[in-house]
Amino acid sequence: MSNEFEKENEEKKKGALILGKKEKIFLIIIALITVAAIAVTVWALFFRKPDDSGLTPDYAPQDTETNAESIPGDDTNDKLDSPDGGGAVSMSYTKNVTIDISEEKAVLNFGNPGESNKDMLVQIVIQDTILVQSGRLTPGHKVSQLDLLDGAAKKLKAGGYEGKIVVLFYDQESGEKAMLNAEIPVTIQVQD
Amino acid sequence: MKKLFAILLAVAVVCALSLTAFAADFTTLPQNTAASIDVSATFDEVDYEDAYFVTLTYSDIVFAYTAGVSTWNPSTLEWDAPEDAEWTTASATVNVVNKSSVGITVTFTDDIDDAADVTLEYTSNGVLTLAEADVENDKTATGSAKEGTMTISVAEGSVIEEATDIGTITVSITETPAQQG
Repeated sequence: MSNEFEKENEEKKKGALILGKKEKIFLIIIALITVAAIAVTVWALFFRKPDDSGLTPDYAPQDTETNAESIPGDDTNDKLDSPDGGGAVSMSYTKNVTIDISEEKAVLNFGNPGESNKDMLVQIVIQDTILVQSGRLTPGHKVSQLDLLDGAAKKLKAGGYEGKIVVLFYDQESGEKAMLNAEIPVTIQVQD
Repeated sequence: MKKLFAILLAVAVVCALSLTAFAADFTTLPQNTAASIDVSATFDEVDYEDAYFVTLTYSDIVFAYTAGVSTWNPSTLEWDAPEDAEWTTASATVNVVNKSSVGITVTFTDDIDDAADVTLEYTSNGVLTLAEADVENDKTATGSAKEGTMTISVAEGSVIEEATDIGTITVSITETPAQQG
């Protein structure tokens, strides 16, 4: 009788031991999932690049262009006369545009003079593909370089391309895009 | 012996007096040589880098269409086609000012949405040619801005069914090619 009781006890202990291993495996899996979730969260918060879709926004971007700098000597507050409901914009630029693939930057010289009464957005387009899109360029500011959109560098090889600078105009209060936009055909030198 | 030494010393001193004369000859020679060196300077002409400055002033580009009045026809039991439909605002203008160092050609094109049965017409076939603002062949003179105005109109027969963004107008700015001959 006592033998049977001891045998039963041993089996129960084995069962408890087996259940302990399962729990350990379960806990390890839970821990791995937790670590993976934390890793994804950290990557999304600190390392994920913004979604550069390259679509032309219908409303002015919230963020001003980070590469923008004040136009030297352009401290006038005299604005161009603008018809009701219309707009008046000036553009200052040269036609020298280069793209550095390794730096993932475009070098250009484009300004929205202080006399303009619209914000601008500048794109560099080659063969209908938007490679560069600025943030909001407010009057009195210019850019001498812009970052390539995510993945744009992979689409380019060193050489010359016929492209264009596209300029979109946005209302400074409502952010609405004007029906009118401008294009400046340029030859773009792409270098490694 | 002392007398002989004194005489020799006196002769040596007298001979040494002529040394300054020899020195004068040596200073003359280098001066003449320096005068014969050619001095030259190179000159790179001023490199004029073209810059563009273009101003666009545009009116409110909103075209307004009134569909007119449709009346019920008891005979046909249908609504008759509206009468007096018209574009009440059918034109807009864009003024272009060129303050660039080069002449520009400004070409207007549009991209009208397929849903809108609208055609836009432009004066001068949609092309403005504006001369450079600087004075040709006189880089020291003060130039003057050049300007022109484009009128955009809705073509006859254009119709829309509802209020909509009918599309975009693109202003393409290129350098005017130099004229031959």
